[in-house]
Amino acid sequence: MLRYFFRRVVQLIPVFFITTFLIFLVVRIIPGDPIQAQFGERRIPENLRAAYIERYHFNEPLWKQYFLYMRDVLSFDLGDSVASQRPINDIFREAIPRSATLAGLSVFFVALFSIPMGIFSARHKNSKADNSFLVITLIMLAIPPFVLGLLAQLFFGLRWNLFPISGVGEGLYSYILPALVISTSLMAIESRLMRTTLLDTFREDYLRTARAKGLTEGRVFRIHALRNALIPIVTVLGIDFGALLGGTIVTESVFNIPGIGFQITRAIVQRDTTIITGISIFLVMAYLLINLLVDMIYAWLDPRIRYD
Amino acid sequence: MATVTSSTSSADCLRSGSDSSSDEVLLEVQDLTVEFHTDDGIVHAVSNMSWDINEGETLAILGESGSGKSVSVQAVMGLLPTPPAVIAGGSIRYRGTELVGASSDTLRSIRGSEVAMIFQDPLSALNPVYRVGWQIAETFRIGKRMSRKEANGRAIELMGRVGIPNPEQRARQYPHQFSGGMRQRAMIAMALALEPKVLIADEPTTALDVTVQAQIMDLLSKIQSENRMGLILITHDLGVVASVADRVVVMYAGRAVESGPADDFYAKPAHPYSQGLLSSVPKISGPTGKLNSIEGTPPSVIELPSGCAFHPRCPHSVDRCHSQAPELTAITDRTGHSACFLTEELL
Repeated sequence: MLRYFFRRVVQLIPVFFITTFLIFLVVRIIPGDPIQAQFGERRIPENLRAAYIERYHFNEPLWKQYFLYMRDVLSFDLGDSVASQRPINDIFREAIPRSATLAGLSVFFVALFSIPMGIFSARHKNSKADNSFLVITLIMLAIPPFVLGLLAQLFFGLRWNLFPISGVGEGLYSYILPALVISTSLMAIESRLMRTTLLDTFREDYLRTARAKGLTEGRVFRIHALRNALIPIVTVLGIDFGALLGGTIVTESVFNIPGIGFQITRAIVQRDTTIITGISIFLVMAYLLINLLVDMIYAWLDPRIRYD
Repeated sequence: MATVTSSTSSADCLRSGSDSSSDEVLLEVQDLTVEFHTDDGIVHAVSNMSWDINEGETLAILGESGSGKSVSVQAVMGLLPTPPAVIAGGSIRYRGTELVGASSDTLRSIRGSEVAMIFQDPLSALNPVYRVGWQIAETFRIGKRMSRKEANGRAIELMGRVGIPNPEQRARQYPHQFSGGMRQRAMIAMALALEPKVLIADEPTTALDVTVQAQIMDLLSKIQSENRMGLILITHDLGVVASVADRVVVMYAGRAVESGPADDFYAKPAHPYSQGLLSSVPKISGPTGKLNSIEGTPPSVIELPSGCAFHPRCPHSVDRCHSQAPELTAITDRTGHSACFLTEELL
C-alpha cells in the first residue's frame, strides 16, 4: 500500500509541472495588454507601468517568469490580485471553504440518492418502477443547471419560502438549494451506474459460492454483492468532488455564492491574470490530490489494485 | 434396498450393487425436468433425469458442455436463477426431505452443511475483496455461529488439511495472490467446513493445469474416503474420473443416455454416444493416426431433434430412432442402463 502511494505521488510531480506551465502559458499569450486592462481606456503613467512590469516580471523571458512564479507558489504565496491588489491567499481563504462546502454537500446528496436508488432499480430490474425511474433520470439529465437553478429559486425560494436563494448568509442552510441543483444530473448518472454495476455483480460466480455456503440472501447481498458494487461508485463520487470544486461556475453565479467559480468568472471579466492563474493552479492541485486520495480509497477497497 | 418399479423412472436403475446396500441413500433425484424460459423459447436443459448417491460413493456425471449436467446439480442446491429457470417436474430428496418447492430456509439449511459444492473456475468463485481465510471462516461463523477468532483458527487448520502450505500466512492473502491449484484447494476447504454429507464438484479440474488436475482429484478422492461422503463429479473429461468414479451417468441433450458401474462403462460402453465419447479420448498407447470424433454438433436445446436426440449424429440409427425416443432400460446381463433401441445388438 505504501509503495503504491509513493509511486502515485511520484507520478503526480511531472503532471503538476506540465499542467501549471500550460496554464501559465495560456494566460500570458492571451492577446492584449494585461496592465492596460486594469485602466480601461485611460492612459497609464509610465512610472506606474514600469512598477507593474517590475512587480510581475513581465520583462523577463517566459520560462523565467514561470520559474519565479512557481517559486512563490511552492512557498504558498500566490501574489496579489492585479485588479484589487488584495492578496490572493485572502481571496482563497474565503472562496475555497464555500466551494468545498458546496461540492461536499452536492456529493453527499448524490451518494444519498444514487446508492439506494440504484440498489432499488437493480433489485426490481425491468419493473414498472425501474422503467419509470429511467425516464425520470433522463429528464434530470436534460434540464440545464441554470434553468434548474432559476426554477428552484422561483418555487422553493420565492413561492414556498423554504430556502434562501442568494448568498451564504444562513450558513449550511444556504447551500442546500444550490447543492441540489448541482447534484441533479449527477444523481441521474450515478444511480444508473449503481444499478448497472450491481446487476453485473449479481452475475458473479462468487455470489453463487456465497449461496452454496448456506448464507442468507440478505448476507449474500450486503456482504458479497454490495461491497463489490460500491467500488466504482465510491471512486466516481471522489472524482465528482474534485471536478465540482471548480466546476460550479454557473450555479455559484445563479445563487450568488462567492466561491471559486464566482471568483474565476469575475477575474476573467476583469482580466485579472494573477487570479486566473492562481485559481487554475489551485484547481489542478486540488484535482490531483483528490484523485490521489480516490486512488488510495480504491486500492483500499479492491485488494487486486493494492497488491499488483 | 433396490426396489424395482414399473414406472419409467430410472432412479432405481442407478443404485449401486448389493455390496454397499448398508450405506444410506443421501440424495435421490427422480424424473427431474428443468427448463429455462428465455426470449428465444423454452430451453429444455434437463429432461426426466434420475440419479441417486449413497454415502461413501463417487458418482460421475459425464457429458459435453450444454448437456445439462451442471444444471441438474445446481437444481439440487437451489442455485438456479429463477426466473428464467423453472423446475418443471420431478423430485429431489435429501435423506427423505423433498427439496423441489422447499422453502428458502430449508434449502439454506441443506446448503453448505449437508450438501456442499465447488466450482469450475476457483478465481471467479472466490470473492476478490475478501481474504481467503476470512471467506473460509465465514462459513464457520455463519454455519456454526463461531466467534471470529475460533472460526479463523478452524479455517487455518482446514487450509492445512487440504494441502495449502503456510496456511497461517496464506489465510491473510487474497484470492488473486493464489495459484489456480491453491485456489481450488481453498474452495475445497470452504466446502468441507461444515462437514457435508455430499460434495458436488462441478468441473473441478477444468480450469487447472494437467499436473494440478491429478493433485486435486487425489485430494477429492482422499477426502471422500476419509469422510465417507457422497462425491458427485461433473465433468466432460472422461479421463479425469476413470480411476475414482464408482458409477457414471452419461448425459446428452438434457437426458441421461447411459448409467451404470464405472468399470462396465469404461470397459464396454453400451450407448452409441458413450461409445463415441470413449473412442474420442486420445490414448497414449495403441496405434497412432486420426483421432476419432463424433460427427456433427450437439443439438440446440431449444429445438431438440425428434425421436432420440442423438439420432442425427448416430452411426447406427434406424427409422425408429427418428420418431420414437428410447427410454432408459436395463441392459441384459449387467447392472447398467442405456437409452437405445439397439443396445443389445451393439454390445
